[in-house]
Amino acid sequence: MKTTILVLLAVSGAVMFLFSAFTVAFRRGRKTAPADVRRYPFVSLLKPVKNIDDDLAANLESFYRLDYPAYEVLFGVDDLQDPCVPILRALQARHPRIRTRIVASGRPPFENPKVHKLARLESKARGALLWATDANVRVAPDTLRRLVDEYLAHDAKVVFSPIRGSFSRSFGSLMENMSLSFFTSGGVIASWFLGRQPIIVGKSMLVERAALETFGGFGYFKDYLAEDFLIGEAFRKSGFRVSTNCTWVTNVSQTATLKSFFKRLSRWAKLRYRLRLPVYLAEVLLNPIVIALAGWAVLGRRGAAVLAFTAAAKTALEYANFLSVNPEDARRLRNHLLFPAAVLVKDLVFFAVYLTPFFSREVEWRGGRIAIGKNTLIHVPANVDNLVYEGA
Amino acid sequence: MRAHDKAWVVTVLMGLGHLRAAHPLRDLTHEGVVIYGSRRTTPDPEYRIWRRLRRVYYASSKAGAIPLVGRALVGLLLAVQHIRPYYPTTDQSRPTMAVRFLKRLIRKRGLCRSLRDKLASAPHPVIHTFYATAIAVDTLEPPASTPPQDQYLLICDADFNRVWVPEDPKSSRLRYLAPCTQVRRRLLAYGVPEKDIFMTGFPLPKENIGSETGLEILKADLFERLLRLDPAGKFFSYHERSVLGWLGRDPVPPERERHFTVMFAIGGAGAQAEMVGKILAGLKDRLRSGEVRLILSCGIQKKVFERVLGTVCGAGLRDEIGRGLEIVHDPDVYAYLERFNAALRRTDVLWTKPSELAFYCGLGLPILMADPIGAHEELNKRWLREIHAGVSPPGPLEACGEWLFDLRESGRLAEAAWDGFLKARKLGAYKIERLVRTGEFSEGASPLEQ
Repeated sequence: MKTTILVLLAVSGAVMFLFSAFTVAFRRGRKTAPADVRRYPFVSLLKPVKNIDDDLAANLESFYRLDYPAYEVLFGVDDLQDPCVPILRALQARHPRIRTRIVASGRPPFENPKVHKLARLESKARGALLWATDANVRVAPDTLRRLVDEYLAHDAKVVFSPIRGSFSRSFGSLMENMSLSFFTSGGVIASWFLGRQPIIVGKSMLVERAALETFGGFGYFKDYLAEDFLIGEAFRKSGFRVSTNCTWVTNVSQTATLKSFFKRLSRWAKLRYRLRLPVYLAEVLLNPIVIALAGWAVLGRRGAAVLAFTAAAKTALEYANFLSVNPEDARRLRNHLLFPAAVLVKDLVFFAVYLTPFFSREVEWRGGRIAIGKNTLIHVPANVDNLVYEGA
Repeated sequence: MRAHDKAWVVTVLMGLGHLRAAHPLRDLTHEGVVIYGSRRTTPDPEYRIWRRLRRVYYASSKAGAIPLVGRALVGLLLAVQHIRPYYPTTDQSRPTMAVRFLKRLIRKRGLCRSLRDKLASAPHPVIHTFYATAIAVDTLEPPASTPPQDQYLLICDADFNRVWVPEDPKSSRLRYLAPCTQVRRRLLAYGVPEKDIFMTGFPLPKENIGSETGLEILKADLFERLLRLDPAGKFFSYHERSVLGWLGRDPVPPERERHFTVMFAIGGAGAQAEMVGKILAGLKDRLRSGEVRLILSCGIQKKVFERVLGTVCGAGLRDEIGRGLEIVHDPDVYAYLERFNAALRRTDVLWTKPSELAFYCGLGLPILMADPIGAHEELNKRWLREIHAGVSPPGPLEACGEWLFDLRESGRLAEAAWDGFLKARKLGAYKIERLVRTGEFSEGASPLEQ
């Protein structure tokens, strides 16, 4: 038993080391030869927006400062009464040279609301490339050019990005941003470079429109909640090239609380559980602190030392990631002081979250509750017509 | 028999065959086609039984592809579905084990009990396209104070197992809608009284036919198709007067379109998906040169669609999508059937396993027959051969670019299209509707009345 615990810790440590090493190594992305400026196609930026996320105006403003020759911005909202609309209109007025449209899409009750918006925006878009990003994402001026360089260089039909969580102002947001920069992005980069398995997180994905239309557009994924992952899977299985040059985008989270952090993790955990159960079960290995805690009883007096060592090592690995990937947060002393506590609490929260999919299949999202089934198929009440094969 | 404005149409999602039969009857329905065994219509404990049955069905459809044991599994499947030889004609009314097992499921496990209650909520006649629901509703006592409802069972193959008929057909209220003569013969052999059999034909989509008396769409599509399928004029040299007479056209135009269109239909379970790569290899050059167009019909399963798309991309034909190559898929069953029917109008050759799609030869489509799965499909294949509407591939799939064009050049495909039109019944949807609405039925004698 002791050996088992130590082996599990060693495996877990090795994976954590890989996550840290990959995120540090690719913190500036991979160089792709820039294309001839005349080759850059027109791009439509698709942004589903709802309510006002942290620093929304600044996030959206960053998309008007792109170093890219020709693009348009399309915002999708449920309705024009949404509180974000005045901010969108102000941006539109401030940047008259960039074509901007605000599209009210309504909200069908049993479809993925984000995909519904994307499908509506797609129908209004003019670009040969579609770049879908979330409202709480902020980007550097060269982001789009780098993504398109990757598209042109490798004939990639989808180009995805790792995510840097940043701009922490609360303990909850520090944990959330750490988990995005380390756990999520470490997983995204490691699985791509070690297994060529695309894990697309919908915060940012550049899609070739013609390839997407082969599936019938974004609407093909409307019945599933994890549309981003399934887009990657569908493209890969269908023989379309999916790629990344690790052009990071920044997820801005400033005011997250422990509760909102728990809810977001829980939602993502339920999606992963429904997408790949065996992989999800193995995820417990990605939590060395919990393994060491569980092993304490087995290891006796040495257990405390092992736990202390594990916690220190894990904190060090995450700290390396923090310093290199998240310079914005690293500028604040408070974040450094809270960091060790944030690692420990986050990992304990992770474990609590890990258990939730075993007891519930409902996820909370933007104020609504959605039940999901196989492959995150959105559960439609029995009294509603639904003839989607997996739900039949 | 009483007249009714509306009817219940009950089907199951077990592959697409039974649903395809129900879909053309949707105008007749009381509240849309009832897909029993789906989550919407079936309470939880019974839904799980249907889900399990569906899984078994899909797994068995693909059993042949399993390495080493595939052949043995297919042999087992054939044994289970075995249909007794019709000749020498004997009394085959004795119930089989499958009939008794189904009865036990209905009596002891309450199979379809909630369906019976649902159907009792409106006193319309009921048309079933799957035997289990029909026999269950026929077997179970109706709820108190419910007036008796006419129950029809539409047979979806050219020959079929004894399990489609209840233990004692003479005391049953079930009436049968037969798609072809062999089905009538078999029903009689199973002990069904002749008065309970109606030779309606299989219900084909009305949007591919036109009106019942004019058959405008069918005639126009068929004439264009025959021209495309007969580039050398061999078929018309034999059949010109017959074609012009039946289709009301004159004269045969001298110019013909250069290309023709083949639709390869993958079964609802996705069992033929692996054939796509070989077909693409065979047709690749012809597709690029525009001599042939290919429609790949993938059904409703996303994994089948993505696999086919992957094969297309792997064959280097991605750029042909939207030009010479079309993929028909929709996860919504109804939307898929509508897209499929629309694509059929552009189709000149239907390449499919001989499932219920065998009856689509009535639309004047030559059926290129892929390997059948199950005993009923073997007999559908035989029926297609008997009426000369089915053609077996004369060579390997990889060489389809050669033999398809030879078959076309010789006029054999045009001949199969024409024979299907003349000999198979095409007005099933209209005849069933009239039977239910007015109680009237006439079989029709001429090919334009059947």
